[in-house]
Amino acid sequence: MEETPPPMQAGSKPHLEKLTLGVTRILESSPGVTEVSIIEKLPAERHMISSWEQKNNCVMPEDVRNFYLMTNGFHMTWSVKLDDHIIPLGSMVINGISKLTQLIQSSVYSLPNAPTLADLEDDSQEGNEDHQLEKPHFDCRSAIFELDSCGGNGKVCLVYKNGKPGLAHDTEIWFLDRALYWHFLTDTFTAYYRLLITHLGLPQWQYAFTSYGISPQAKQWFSMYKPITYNTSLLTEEPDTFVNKLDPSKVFKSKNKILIPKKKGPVQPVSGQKGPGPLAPPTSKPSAGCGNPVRK
Amino acid sequence: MSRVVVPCHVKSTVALQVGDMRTSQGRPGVLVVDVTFPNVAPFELQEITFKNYYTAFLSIRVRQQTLMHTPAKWVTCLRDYCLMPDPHSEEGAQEYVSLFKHQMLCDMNRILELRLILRQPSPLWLSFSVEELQIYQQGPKSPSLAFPKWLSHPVSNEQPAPRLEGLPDPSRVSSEVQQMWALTEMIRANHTSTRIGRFDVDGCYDLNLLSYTCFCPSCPE
Repeated sequence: MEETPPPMQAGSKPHLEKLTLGVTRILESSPGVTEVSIIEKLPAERHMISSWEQKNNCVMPEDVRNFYLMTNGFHMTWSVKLDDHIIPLGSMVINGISKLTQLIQSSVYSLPNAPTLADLEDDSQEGNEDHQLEKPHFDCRSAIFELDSCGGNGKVCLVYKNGKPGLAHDTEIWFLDRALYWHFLTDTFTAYYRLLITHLGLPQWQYAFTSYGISPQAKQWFSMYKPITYNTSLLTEEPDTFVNKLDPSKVFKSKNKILIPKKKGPVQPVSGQKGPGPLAPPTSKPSAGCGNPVRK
Repeated sequence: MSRVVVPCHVKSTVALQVGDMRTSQGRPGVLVVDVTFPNVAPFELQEITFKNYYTAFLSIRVRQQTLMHTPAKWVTCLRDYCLMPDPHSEEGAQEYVSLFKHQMLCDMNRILELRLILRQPSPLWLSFSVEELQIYQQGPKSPSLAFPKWLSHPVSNEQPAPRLEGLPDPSRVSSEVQQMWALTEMIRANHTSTRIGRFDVDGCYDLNLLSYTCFCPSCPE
């Protein structure tokens, strides 16, 4: 059903620029960015949305529905050119309707005492729910659908908080990291879409919303291609580096005392000139020496 | 305190993931290690030791023998214990860890099985695990261990201390050390108070002057 024509260069169609909130121009003007491409997808049919809702027994939120009626999924990538090597860096993905599947545990092990996802949740966590946001559950208490697989570094999920039947106003967007910890992202799909665009699809950008933050490698890319809404507290956490500065003018500064010996220099030649004056009596002595041959 | 190693069997690691594993391209971030005690009666756990290998958070669940005839259930005795303060960096990544009974959330009596849940959220590390896992229980309090023999039998004063071969006389060494100490004190007392003058010209210690100007009488200037 999904026809994926070859990726077309951004800017060729004005509606794609509106879809990406004009971020393609920002990317194309950034240094080193190349191969900005959007995989154009056809709008989803209304019956596709209806069949999804019937199959999963969940009502799709209005903004998600409008998004799919405009385009069935979203995939935008961009790369960086480093010394004739092109490295794919940015990736913004929203799954199409056919890939908006519910997350359940992989039933690989069928042993009765095998570890399950229930081991990750505790009954005594109910005490934490009083002052914390209730996290999604892997059982029937929540209905979880995958919006983005984040390149294997976690999953962005559309979560129906009260399970099935899922109502439109019960949805939230959460990030499930690799260790299956939940991190809240936004209340609505529209807000998440804005976050996705403004973070430029930089690697591991969802980890900025976790307690451990982004990795040092990802922080390098964040510093280079700073997102529009980048959290500046990450940058201020690093202490200011103190660097010793060498001032050559101060080290080799000349003093006034040097002038005094230089002035004495001309004075000494003057005394040297006076020297020939006292030397005049020695000249008379050679004349006395001339008298000696007379005596001979 | 004394402890005794409990013989155990560490099962192979099981990865927990959500979604379709066939299309899942990521590496698992949750590993579960089950520890069983085949030839051991239910015991009271005293200590757990292991060497970490890039595990960021650890949870432990236990299955205990119940007094009633109800089936044994899994209970969490340790939740999200932090092994690496920053999952993205190396601190705590390869440390030796000891967990004691008082750190657990529940009592550790009548242990049948252990389940270690290892979690690493950072995408940087390719693999993570725990190594050299040891489970301990309370050791027996035998009298020989509690009180050494040489304390219970005082040495008699009749026999003098035997002189060791090859070592010098202790009293002579002691007197020589005292003499050296006295010499050190004498040298310290005769410390001179003469100041060592600075090498300066006209009260000015300037690199330029020393470098470019010389006041030797033999110099032409």
